[in-house]
Amino acid sequence: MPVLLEMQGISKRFGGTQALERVDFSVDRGEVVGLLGENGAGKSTLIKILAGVHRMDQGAIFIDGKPVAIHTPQDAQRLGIAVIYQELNLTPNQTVAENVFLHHPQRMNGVLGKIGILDHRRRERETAELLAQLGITGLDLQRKVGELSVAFQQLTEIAKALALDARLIVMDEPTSALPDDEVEHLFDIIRRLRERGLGVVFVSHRLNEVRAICDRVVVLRDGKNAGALPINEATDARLITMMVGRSIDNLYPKRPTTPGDIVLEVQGLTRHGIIEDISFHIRAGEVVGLAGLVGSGRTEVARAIFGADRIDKGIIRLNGKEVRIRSPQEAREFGIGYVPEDRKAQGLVLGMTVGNNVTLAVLRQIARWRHIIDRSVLDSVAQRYVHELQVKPPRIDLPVESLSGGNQQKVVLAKWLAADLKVLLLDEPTRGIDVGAKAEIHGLIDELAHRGMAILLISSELPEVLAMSDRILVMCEGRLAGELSREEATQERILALASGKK
Amino acid sequence: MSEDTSVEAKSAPVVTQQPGIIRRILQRPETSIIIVLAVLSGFLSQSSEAFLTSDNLFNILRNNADIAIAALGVTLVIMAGGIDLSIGSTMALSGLVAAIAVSQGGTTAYQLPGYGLPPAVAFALGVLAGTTVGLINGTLVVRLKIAPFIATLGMLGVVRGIVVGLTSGQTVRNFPPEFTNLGQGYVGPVPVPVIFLIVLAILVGLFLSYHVWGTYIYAIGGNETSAALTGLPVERVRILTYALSGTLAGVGGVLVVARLGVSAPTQALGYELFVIAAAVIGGVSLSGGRGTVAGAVLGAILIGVLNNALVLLRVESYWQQAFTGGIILLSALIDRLRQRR
Repeated sequence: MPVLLEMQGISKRFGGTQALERVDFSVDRGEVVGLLGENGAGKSTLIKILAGVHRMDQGAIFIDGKPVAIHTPQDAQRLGIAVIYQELNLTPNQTVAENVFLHHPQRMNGVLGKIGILDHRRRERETAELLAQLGITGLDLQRKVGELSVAFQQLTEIAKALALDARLIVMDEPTSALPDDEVEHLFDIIRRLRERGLGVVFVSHRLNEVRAICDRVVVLRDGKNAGALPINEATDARLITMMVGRSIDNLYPKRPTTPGDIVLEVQGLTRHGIIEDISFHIRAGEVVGLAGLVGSGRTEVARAIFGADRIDKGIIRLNGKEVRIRSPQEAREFGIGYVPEDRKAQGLVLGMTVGNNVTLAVLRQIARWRHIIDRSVLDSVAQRYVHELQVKPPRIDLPVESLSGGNQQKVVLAKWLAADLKVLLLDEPTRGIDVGAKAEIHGLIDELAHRGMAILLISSELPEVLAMSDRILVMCEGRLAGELSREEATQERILALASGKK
Repeated sequence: MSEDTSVEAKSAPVVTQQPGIIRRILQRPETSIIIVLAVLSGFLSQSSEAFLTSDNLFNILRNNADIAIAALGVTLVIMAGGIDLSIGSTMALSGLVAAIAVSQGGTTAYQLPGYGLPPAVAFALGVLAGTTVGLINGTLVVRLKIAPFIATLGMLGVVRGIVVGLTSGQTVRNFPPEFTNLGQGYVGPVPVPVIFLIVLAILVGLFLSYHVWGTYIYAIGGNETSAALTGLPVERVRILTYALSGTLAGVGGVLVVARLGVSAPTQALGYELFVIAAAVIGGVSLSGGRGTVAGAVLGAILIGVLNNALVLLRVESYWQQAFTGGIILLSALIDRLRQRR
């Protein structure tokens, strides 16, 4: 296959940080290239240079062997490069068809078109054609994009790229917000793009997905090329070693536990129309996985237990005693902590320091007479947990927004560790976190379980749920569809339960 | 150049350099106000001999102490992610309540009678009226979930209407000297309202830095969802900020009456403009989560100096509002630029 894109010796510096140093990258026609690397390895910078968002300091870019200059997003668009970011770039209040042709509206023929009158029928016809090429039929083109699921929004983005005659489509972690069954669907579409001779760059943290869809993998580390492998040579161990620069012995450290007494018991938990009749229990020292498709009500179960959402029916018992939890504040007082799925929007106050975030949940407890803050006590508490969780850099005075994703997540966990919990509800605790930090957080979950904490682990990553849980609950459409022991659980059985098949 | 980059790249690229102490001082919003104040004062002392006299400077402080005190309160509200537009009306109501309580009776047909209560009691009643307005604001916003902008805009109208209605447009006068001293007197060379300002600024500053709820205010303004999911008493803290704003506006309102020796229904009309401008100039972030007490006080002083300058430079007082409004826009713009950095 002829080379479509060639990037040579790309360097980029932001202030004192060398984000990229002489990085080479190429994509052939009809090739899907995985771009891997930990957070901060330079993946986004490379993509943004390609998209015309950043300008490189040094290097050269060739398309079809011809040197090109990409200074603005418009340049990239003209050259047939489309980038689909994690945060989709759609106007939610416009329809699918309007979004697909947002950047080059379909005008009427003749004079009317010249003065800017649009041809809606043609727009819809062509949108339908583009979607048909992707194997999508039956999507209502009149629907507003904001009402669609993330999966369909992504398809709209891909159709938009095709409408712009894109020849190279870059997808930045496209699966991070997709439920598992939709991931397979996305892969079908990527394969269709490949058959049509397009080049695809697939950025992801999930090694199994990269292996499932990519032809070749390029790994960046610390802004430099760390290596490239054809897919049949790309084992987990080799990829991780390339990404991290050392080998990680065990991504899922889990020691066998002997569960103690029942700590949390939930009976008939119901929020009408959202979760129905949820009953389960967690013992001390037990990690219970909660699997299911996105939207199946997993997060809502955690939020209901935590008092963040009102419940219509149901009983919650802590250590055998019935409790009424009406707010997160009361949940915390009962010794329940919740690590939300979106750490930036829900878990942290980004503008505050690491120290203030770590101590936020226990501020009253460590204050003198429960009111007056004693800096030295606050600092020593913060220092202790930052040290225990190995937050890097280990500085409590930095704003938490300056930390990497994995370290931010450690700060959220530190906040709840400081609070001396009995029950910890974890909602996608390792989403968007690089492999190194992931292994550390898994280690921490195991450690907490060994200290006798009862842990509910919500995750869309089945390998994680399978490896870290003692038991696995599976949800489907707001109900518990089944429970699997660690021994009997497999990806297939979880997916079957989650999608409503028995 | 190329040697340089290879050395750099060996060190971890993620760590950002901590700015030096001078950079950090320069980046503080207070620093830019002090610089502007210094430049403005230098310019004014050149163009008007009256400016750089201790009389004039103390007058500026005295005449703007009430604005500065109210700005302390509104800073708390804005930091927690809200806004309080009812300040001017609240000040007027507090002033009126204190005035009626302390007044020794009307002497003309256009004056209302008074109760002749002791000044301390009158002062307390006036401040209490402000607290009440603040609590109502807080309830409207937090419990009834009306957008802060609308709720306090409504209260601006309602409270001003109550003031005008109660007085039928008449003034309240005839105060004992112990009361007017609160606005007009001195302790040594320092005007009494300035003493009030200093004490209250220190109290609010200590509250923000050393009380648990001070940190909660920063956290709630920085990210209310996270604060709630951390189990902080978000609703109570937000109501408290409105109550404190009303209380401090109340203190300011009583001081205005004491300073002028009269309570008129149009008193403190449009003061919310000055007060919010002082807070915003002082570096409080309109999107919440950031702000300081020193900034609010300096902001009020800057507005005072500017108004004084307009007088000294013989700009007609009719134009004052336009300048203050312009300054709000300018400082909001600076706030945007700070956010982007």
